[in-house]
Amino acid sequence: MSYPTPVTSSMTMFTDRGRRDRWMGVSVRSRRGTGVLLGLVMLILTLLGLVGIGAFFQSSGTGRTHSRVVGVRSALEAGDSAIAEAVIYLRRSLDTGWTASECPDNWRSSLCSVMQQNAPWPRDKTVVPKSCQLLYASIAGAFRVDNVKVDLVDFFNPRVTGSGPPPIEPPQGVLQLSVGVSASGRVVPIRKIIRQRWSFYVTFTRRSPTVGSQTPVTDAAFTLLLHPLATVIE
Amino acid sequence: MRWTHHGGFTTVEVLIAATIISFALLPILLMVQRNVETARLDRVRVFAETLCHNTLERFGRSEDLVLLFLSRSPGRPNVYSGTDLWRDNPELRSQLGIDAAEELLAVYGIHMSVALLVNQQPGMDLLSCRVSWVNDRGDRRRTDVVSYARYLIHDHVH
Repeated sequence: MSYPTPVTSSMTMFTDRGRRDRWMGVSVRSRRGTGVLLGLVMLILTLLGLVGIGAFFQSSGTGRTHSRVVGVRSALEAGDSAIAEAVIYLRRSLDTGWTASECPDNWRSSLCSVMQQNAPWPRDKTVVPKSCQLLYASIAGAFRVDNVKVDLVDFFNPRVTGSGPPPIEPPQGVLQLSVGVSASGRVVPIRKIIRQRWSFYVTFTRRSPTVGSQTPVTDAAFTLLLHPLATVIE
Repeated sequence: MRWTHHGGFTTVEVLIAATIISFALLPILLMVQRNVETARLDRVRVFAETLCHNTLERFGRSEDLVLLFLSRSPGRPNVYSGTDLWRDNPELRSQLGIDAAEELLAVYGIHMSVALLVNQQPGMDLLSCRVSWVNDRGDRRRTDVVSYARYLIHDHVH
C-alpha cells in the first residue's frame, strides 16, 4: 500500500519562485548557479595555485636536502682524508723526530718523555693537513678543512722491575685526532667535526739494560696502526 | 559584472575571464614542469654521486687493491687509472650499483674514471673518482661532473 508524498511549503515556494523567475527572464536559480560556478572556478584556481606553490617549495626542498646530504658526505670524506694525512705526518715524526710546518711538534721526543719520565701527555697539538686542504678546496669548492688536533688520550707503560725478564706487553697508547670541516658557501651551511682514535704500540729492536724503572727509548719503534679504533662524527 | 537577460555573462566577459585564468595558469604549469625536469636531472646526479661513493667504499682502503683494476698511465709512472671499471670486471656491477641503472648509463652517457696517485706523500696514495654525465635541461646540453677523493695510507713501515 503506498501513500502520496506530502508537498511541503518550501517545495511549493521553490517551484513557485522558479516559475516566476523564468517568467521574469533573470531567474534566482540562474544567479545562484552562476555563483556556484564562480565559486568552483575560484576553488580550482586556488587548488592549482597551491599545487604550483607546492611544486616550487618541493623543488627547493629537494635541492636543499640533496645539497645537504652531498655536503655532509663530502665533509666526512674530507675529514677522513685530513686525518689520514695527519697520521702520515705523525708516523714520520714518531719514526725520526721529524718536524716541519705541517707537524711542528716532535712526537718521538714527546712520547719518549712520556714513556721514560712520566712527562705530561701531549694535548692540543696541531698537525696541518696542507695537501688535503688544497685538495678539497679544489674539488669541493667552498669546503674548508681545519687543522687536525691531536691528543694523547691513553698510554700504558708496563713497569720494568729490576733485572727480571722484560714485560710481555709492549708500551701502547691511543691518540685522538679530530678535525673540523665546514662549508659555509653552500645553500645549507655545514659544520662537522670528525674524531678518530688511533692505537699505537712501541717495540724495541734491542733491549738495553734498564736503569731503575726507566725504559730505554733510543731504539724504540712506534707503530701507528693502519685503521682507527673508532670514528665519531659531531 | 553585467548580467544578461539570460542570466549569464556576455561572450566578451567570458573570453576575458578565460584569458586571465589561462595567464594565471601559465606560471603554475611552468613551475610544475620545471619541478619535474629538476627531479629527472636530480635522479641522474644522485646516481652519479652514488657511483662515486660506492667506488670509494669499494676501493677505499689499501688492502682493497684497486691497482688490480687499473693500468699504468702513459708518461706518469706513479699514476694508475681506469675508466668504467664495471665493463671489464662484471663482479663490480652489483657492488657499484650498476645493475639497477643500465638505462641511466645509456641515456645520459654516464662515464666514470678512477685514478690512483701512488705515494702522493710517502706512505699515502690518493684515490680519486670522477663521474661525468650529459645534462640536457631544456635546449642546452652540457657535461656535468662530480668528483670525490680519498687518501689511502699504507702500513706503518719503519
